[in-house]
Amino acid sequence: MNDQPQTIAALGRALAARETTAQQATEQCLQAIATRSASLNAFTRVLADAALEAARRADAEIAAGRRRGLLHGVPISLKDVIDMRGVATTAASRVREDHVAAADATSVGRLREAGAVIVGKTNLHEFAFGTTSEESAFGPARHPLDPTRSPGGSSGGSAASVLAGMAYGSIGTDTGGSIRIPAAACGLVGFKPTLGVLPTDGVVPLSTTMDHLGPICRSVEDAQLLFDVLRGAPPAAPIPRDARRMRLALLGPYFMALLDAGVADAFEGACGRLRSAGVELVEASIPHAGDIVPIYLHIGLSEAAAYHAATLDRCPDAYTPNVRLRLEMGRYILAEDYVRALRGRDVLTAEVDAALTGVDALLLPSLAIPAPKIGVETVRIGGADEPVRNVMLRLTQLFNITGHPSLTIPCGLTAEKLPVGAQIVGRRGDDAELLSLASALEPHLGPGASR
Amino acid sequence: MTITLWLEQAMQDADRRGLPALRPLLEALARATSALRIADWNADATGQRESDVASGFPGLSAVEGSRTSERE
Repeated sequence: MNDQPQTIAALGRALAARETTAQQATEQCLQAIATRSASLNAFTRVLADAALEAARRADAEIAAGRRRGLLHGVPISLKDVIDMRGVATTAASRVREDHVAAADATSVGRLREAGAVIVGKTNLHEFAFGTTSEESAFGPARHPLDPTRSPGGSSGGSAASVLAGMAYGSIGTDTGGSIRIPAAACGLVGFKPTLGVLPTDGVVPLSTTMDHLGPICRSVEDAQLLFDVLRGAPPAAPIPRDARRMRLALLGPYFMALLDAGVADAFEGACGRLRSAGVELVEASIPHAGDIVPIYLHIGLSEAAAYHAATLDRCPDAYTPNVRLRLEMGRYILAEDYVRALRGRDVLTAEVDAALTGVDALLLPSLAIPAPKIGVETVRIGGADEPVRNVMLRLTQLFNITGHPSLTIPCGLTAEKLPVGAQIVGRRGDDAELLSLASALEPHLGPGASR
Repeated sequence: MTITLWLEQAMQDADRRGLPALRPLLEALARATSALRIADWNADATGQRESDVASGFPGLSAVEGSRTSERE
């Protein structure tokens, strides 16, 4: 993408000004895929012919004065849990190797209506049930900055595709952090809107009451643009915000207790820059933060098991071994404990609402560790070995339980030059407000960390 | 069903199904379930909190210790 604009918005404007063409942009993305697909394994399927055809059609429509908006002619990738008519939705699993989608997911229909060019389906952690994108029928997705590392997950191929210039944005899903985790690991923006705001029909479920759809991209402006298209409503009028008048609540102590030192340093630096910009930072806590993991496990495992039970009996060996075992766990949860977890969800939701009282948004790191090495099961933090999966979910899963909108923005680098993300959480239903806040904070969170 | 009994039966079932690798995961789940059951928002039919009622799971004290350290 060297001689092309870097963001969706910039490319959209360049296409409108006839400074480039959709075909050129698409060819450049397909070239990046051809060059790096073997090393990154970001895609389960590349749709080169269909993409080029869509790009040429977009160019013709723009030339004829029928431009549909900033997404018209822009190459986008789709996580391979989202249905695209006539194409397999594999969920990166052998379980679905014979599947062909009969119809577009509503989200895909909206992308097509906006004129997006879909370049392919991206690799993921099998059935979106993991944070590293390692356990996949297609092999592990790899990090563009260091292919010995994971790009995060479960939407790992989506983030890798954007960072590597294979697409300008990607549509992922997030049940415990699967948009925000890979976006943070790859130095990108990832947005999980309020639960239920974006349609999840035509999307392979993981946990039906915690699944979210959302964009991974290079800027908050791009996230806003994709969000508007996906929700199928006219673009919300921008709400100008001034960082000097903002008040954010720094969440602690649970959310700061288990951080990699490099992540902690980068996040602290970002907080310092926000203070220098005039943002007021106050402290807040979630009284029952210690119950997040049990609540998340009992809801998530039960709902995943309900979807997979019949297939686990019919073709258990078609799953990757660890994903199969985690799905089997959920089959043993008692109904009374699932109901207890639902009660716990109400408690946590009220506590996040309370933490938002009197402030514009909550602020915390997005991912407690930088992108982990592939194959590593534990990481050492604070003198103890912690499971990679638990640590990666720790800062994001709360907002899947409660449904609050949450967005990660790059906020710096570790000493090893690995990206670190800051997470901003808004009020339920106030997605446009959160995006406006994020847009005002983005220039201060840097320094130049946005890729 | 107490967590001790639940865990015993779940492990037997996993072994019967040829999934002994599930044992450590079920133990971890049992600890999480214990934590869930002693959460202070629970109430039982007497009007008392369920956390006042013994769960009967031997691993509970360890769970309580870790919860206390995470509690804000």
